[in-house]
Amino acid sequence: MKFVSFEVILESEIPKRISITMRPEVFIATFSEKTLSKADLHSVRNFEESDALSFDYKFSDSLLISCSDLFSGKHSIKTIEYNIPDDVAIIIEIYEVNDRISEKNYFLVNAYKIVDNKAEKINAAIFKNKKEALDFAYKIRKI
Amino acid sequence: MSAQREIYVDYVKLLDANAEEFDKIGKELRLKLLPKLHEDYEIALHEEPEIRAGEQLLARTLSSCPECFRLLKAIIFKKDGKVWIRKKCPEHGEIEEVYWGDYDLYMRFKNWQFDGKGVKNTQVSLTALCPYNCGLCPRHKSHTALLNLVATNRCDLNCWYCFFFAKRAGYVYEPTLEHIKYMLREARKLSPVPPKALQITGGEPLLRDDIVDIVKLAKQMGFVHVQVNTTGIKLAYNADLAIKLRAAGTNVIYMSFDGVTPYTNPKNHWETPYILDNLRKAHLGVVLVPTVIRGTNDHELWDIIRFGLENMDIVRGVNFQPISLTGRVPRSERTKLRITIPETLILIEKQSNGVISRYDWYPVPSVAPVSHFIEAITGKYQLTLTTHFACGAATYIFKDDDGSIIPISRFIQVDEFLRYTEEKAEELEKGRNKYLVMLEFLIKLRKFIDLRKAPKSLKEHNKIAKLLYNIFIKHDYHSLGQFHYNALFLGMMHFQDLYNHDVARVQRCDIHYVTPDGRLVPFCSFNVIPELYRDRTQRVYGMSIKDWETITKKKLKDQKYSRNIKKLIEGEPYRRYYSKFFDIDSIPLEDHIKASQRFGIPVIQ
Repeated sequence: MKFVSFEVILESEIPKRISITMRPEVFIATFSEKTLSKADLHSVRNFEESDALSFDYKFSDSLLISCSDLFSGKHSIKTIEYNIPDDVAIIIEIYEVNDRISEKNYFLVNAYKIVDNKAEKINAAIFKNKKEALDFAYKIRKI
Repeated sequence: MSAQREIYVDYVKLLDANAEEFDKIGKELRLKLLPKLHEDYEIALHEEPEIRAGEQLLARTLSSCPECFRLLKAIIFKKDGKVWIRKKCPEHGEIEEVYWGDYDLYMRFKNWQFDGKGVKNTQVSLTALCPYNCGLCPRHKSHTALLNLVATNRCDLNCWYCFFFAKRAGYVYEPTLEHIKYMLREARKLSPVPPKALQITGGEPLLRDDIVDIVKLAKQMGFVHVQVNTTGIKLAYNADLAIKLRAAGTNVIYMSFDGVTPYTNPKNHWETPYILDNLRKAHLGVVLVPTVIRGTNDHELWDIIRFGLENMDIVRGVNFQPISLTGRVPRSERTKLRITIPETLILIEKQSNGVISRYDWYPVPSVAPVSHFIEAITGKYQLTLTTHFACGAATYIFKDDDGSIIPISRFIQVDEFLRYTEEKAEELEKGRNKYLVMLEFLIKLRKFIDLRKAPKSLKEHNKIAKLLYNIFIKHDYHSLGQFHYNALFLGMMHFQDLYNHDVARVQRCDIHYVTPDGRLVPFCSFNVIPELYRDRTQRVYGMSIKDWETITKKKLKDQKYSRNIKKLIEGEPYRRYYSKFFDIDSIPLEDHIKASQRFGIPVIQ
């Protein structure tokens, strides 16, 4: 199966000031090996209309950012596709987030389990630094 | 447009069902009742409308096509001193509409946007793009400030523009008490801030024999504020009902009131004096709710406020609602009727000769810093009004002992005070010592108040500073009652329609409807796309008119109201309330009758 992530630069003024950059890293853990390894990049392509719901799925519950915000501002967005082997149980997506309005850098971790060949979100959490984000990811992989 | 899918609930069999049974059915139906891509709507986000010579792009957003509900890209731009929205449907062409009638006020209001924290336990998963995934979904940025419960779609009037009431809908929607219990329970589960304010609406909710029980139930379920949205006509004839509603816990009556003459307010002009007298006897306050329509009643805005001021012992506020043009309305008709918030504010300024200026008003989210500050001090989530800045405006005016009117912004530096409050809230969030911050806040507080210009009632013994101290430092909200003494709340809420529809506003909406399947749907989805939300859910949970008549042994047509205008005009209250507003004897009876009949309400002659 394929898994998509997004590399996003968003600048918006109305209704709310947003100035944010989000860059993903994607890790996988198989059923047999409980270690995390980087997912295999398949392609980088333009964001399409059909990606919009995936975008909302990744960012709306944790960052309260959705397509509506994306289309409200100037944005640059790439859809990054990864190959996910059949034996993968868990996908961990870590976004490095640079928020220029609050002047904060943080890390968003989205964790997914594979159900019926689809990635179903099981957790989302925000961390101040990458170490904390990776520690969380390592804990999640054991599920 | 899609055909209604085959979803059916035999409501007659559910009349004795308990809340748990409604819970089970609601959870089964929620996903099925959501709008479906390709069946109910399409998406076309590939094309952005063009900006033309002489126009200035202000913002981008998403919007729906008024003809086919296709989700489209839209632009918000300045042209001729106004703010406009434009979208282009591949099938139905370009749609352009006034978004805000004054650019300068738009720019002033946009500085007050504060977004909320959303809802933690959303009721639907993400299956579609906004606004076809209501509600509430994880995208929603505001929690519920006011929950609406439709108690019935029956109505005793036949207003020409309304398609909502039972006879025209072809079914009766009237949830049982147990069903209402389920709906309110679902709403109260919301985290982190469950709704505390409920509006019981309709149809005409006072047609329900158990309306008092509904109010009691709402109070039992934790709603601190309960208001009933009504024309009030029933209350004109039934003082006892007003007393019972008050005793049950109703806080305020939210009453349609479109003007001070029979021509501008054919809905309840003749009954209003009797309604207010009965509400006064019951000690039950009222908020007057004028729907503002260009060329119809927009010349009476200041008179409506004056009417409120004349009856301040019972009128708590006036909440103007610039018209929302639902259904399909040709452009020429829209231009004729459309009025927006800033245009209404400017008219109030002109009609009041500057007593209330356009700058005395603030957008709804401007008060969010107060919640942020209290939240940071107490560590507890607070109700925070985080609508889109373009959704509404509000102010307070005070009547001084000499009769002069003083808007709050004339004696409190509102801008500076709110900015300072937000600044302090941010310091607290960053971990500054809360006692130090509170001390600084307290010292600074007096500097925002100009006591020389304050109304006497707030000036004496420095009452206003004490009041702010009680609210911000002691969190004693009971003292707010003193603030309302001799004060009239003025509000303005412009509900959207599909012509000026802005998804960014929908996502920030804090006025929600609870649907019979237990979802909370933002006002501007529920009523703006009624085919996919309001009508769809209510039809499924409705019963046939025949069934309703059999069960209740009543006839729907017998419930229709006919007014005896002659008797109402001849009554003493009529003259007492209106003689300051127009020459009562100058309007012949025939003109009164015509005004009522033209609106759709028959007259007993």
